[in-house]
Amino acid sequence: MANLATSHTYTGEVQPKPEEYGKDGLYPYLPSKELVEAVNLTIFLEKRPLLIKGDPGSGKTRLAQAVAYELGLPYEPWYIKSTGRARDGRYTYDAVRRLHDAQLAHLDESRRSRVDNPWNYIHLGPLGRAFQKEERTVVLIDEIDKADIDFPNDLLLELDEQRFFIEETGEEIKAHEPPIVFITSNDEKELPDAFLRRCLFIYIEFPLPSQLVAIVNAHFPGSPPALVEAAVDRFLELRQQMEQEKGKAGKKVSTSELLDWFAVLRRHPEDEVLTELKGQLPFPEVLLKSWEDHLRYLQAVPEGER
Amino acid sequence: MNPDELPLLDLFNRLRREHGLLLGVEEYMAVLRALQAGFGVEDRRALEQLCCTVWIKSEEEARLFHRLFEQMLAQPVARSRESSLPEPPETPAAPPPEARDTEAAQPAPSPPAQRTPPSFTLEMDEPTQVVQAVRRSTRDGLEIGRPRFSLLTEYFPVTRRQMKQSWRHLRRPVREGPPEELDVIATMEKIGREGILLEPVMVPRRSNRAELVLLIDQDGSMVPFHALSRQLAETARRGGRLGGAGVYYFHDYPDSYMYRDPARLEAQPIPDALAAIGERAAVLIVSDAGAARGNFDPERLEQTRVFVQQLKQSVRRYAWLNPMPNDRWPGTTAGEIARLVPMFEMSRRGLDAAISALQGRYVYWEKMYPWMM
Repeated sequence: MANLATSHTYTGEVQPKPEEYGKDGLYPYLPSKELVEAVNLTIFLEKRPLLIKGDPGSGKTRLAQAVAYELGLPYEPWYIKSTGRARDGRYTYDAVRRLHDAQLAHLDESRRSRVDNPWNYIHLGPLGRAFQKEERTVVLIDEIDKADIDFPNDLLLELDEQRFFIEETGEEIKAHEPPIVFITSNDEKELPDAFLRRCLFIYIEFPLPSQLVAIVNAHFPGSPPALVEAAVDRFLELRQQMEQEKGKAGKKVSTSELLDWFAVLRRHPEDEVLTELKGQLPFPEVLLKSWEDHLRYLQAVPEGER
Repeated sequence: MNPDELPLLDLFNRLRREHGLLLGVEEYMAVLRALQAGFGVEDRRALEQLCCTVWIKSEEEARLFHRLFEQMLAQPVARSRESSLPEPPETPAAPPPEARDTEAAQPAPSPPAQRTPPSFTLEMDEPTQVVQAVRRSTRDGLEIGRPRFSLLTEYFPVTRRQMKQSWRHLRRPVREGPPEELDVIATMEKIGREGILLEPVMVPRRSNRAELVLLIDQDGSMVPFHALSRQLAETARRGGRLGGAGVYYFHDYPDSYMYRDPARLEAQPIPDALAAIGERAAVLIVSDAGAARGNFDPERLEQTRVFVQQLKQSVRRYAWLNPMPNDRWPGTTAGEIARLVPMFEMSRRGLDAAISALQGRYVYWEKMYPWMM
């Protein structure tokens, strides 16, 4: 492991306390060794964002907050919409509001002083706020592939030079400390080469069975070990079956679905659930999201167990 | 610093030169800096992962990288670099000291004999490779320059992304939907009239109503270009930001019927199809027009002439995209058809010119190429 005395080092071992769960979407996060290494590399290389890909529900989005929590750094999420523009991440300028106020300025002294200062109408976006913070900020750019194909290119200057201009005031916003940027993508649109070149890249692999057990235990502390084991086994069996039939590309059950499913399972009496897990899949609505899947995997109970 | 002693340089160069990964000096330096800071020195896996994180941008590239890395470690550390270029397995530069240590500790598992032949690169479904291969083969006669395709994206005639960008030039903006954009001029006028701003005037956003219909020649000499036509149709449908995109298929020339599916089962009589297309849509024909086989077929020319006449009567804008380069058209059916319809070759410039023609701009197509004079 890298030994960086002056810089932050992520270990993936510090988890939020159970009473903090759910607050601002904070949950335990158990990263793989590769992921920890990639995060530290991102922190070290400073100007390169980490591009994270992986199956839906593999924890791409959650990583950023987990890193911010462990390092005690501020966290700025930026959820991209299909109409999103890159400049929304820097700042937005409310021209209509200012015009409105200017109209009424002669009636109202307090409004006049407000109008004189353009800063009253400028709202910094997630990147703008991160640049202004005195300490390094963890910025999440979630689902960048949802935006227009030119969106990533518009971010290059900010990411490269760590600064941008506010056109309305002519001021330059320069980053005090380089933000730690995580970008997630579901591969719906391909990203431009110029942008990719600057990114670090990691693909989040599906966790090993032992990691899955640890993840379930971390989310639901004090769960009966027998139940956790049985649920994870049944889940993996289903996933394997899906993998065989759908190949690598199809939608398979994910870690986040396992957690939802387990949340349902543990509310029922343990012995009851344990017997059910041996038979037909209990609470299939949590795991199977299409009619085709329902037909296919609900029938497929191993012979002799029905 | 002796360039021969730079760690991992050979691996980096192979990724860059032979496989066309987009890497620059900065990317190489980033790995060096990280190595100096203590990343990736733990063991072989850590080193592999470090390079992978910085240099690799997709799963396909990752597979390639792991193979090359494996090869690099499997080869004995040799310092002599007399190897000539055409010989694919180059002598690797010395791996960094860390890597050498681990290598000594655990001999690499795969013997060099298992090496995959260099003709294999990433599995990419880019039809442009086919086009490139055709170009190369026509240029050097039967000899194809090198036995493999390279992955340099800027070398391809038209990538998927460029197609999407080009489709965007096909525009017919119409404001529709809920009013959500500020109409500055109308607002100013309103203030002028009322003396005060009470409410800004909002207008709907502009959306693109341009409709595109692709008429794709399928099978026969078009087989090598199926992936290309598929990609054209796909980029037009998704990500082209068009008001609508339809596709019809035919074989060689539309004869009484056009088809809604590539397998040509769902037939539609040509008059019906043209009526459904409507006069506002831009029609782009994708066909080699006989240039791939390189012969002259008077029947094909005549039938195409008949179809083009029909087309001209029902749509205003149309163009022809030919996947074969234009210097292969003269003397073939394509050369003659190019005098009937604005025909463009499938390159970035050709595609953009075709789209300009579809936009209604005048493109000098009648004598576009010297051989047409």
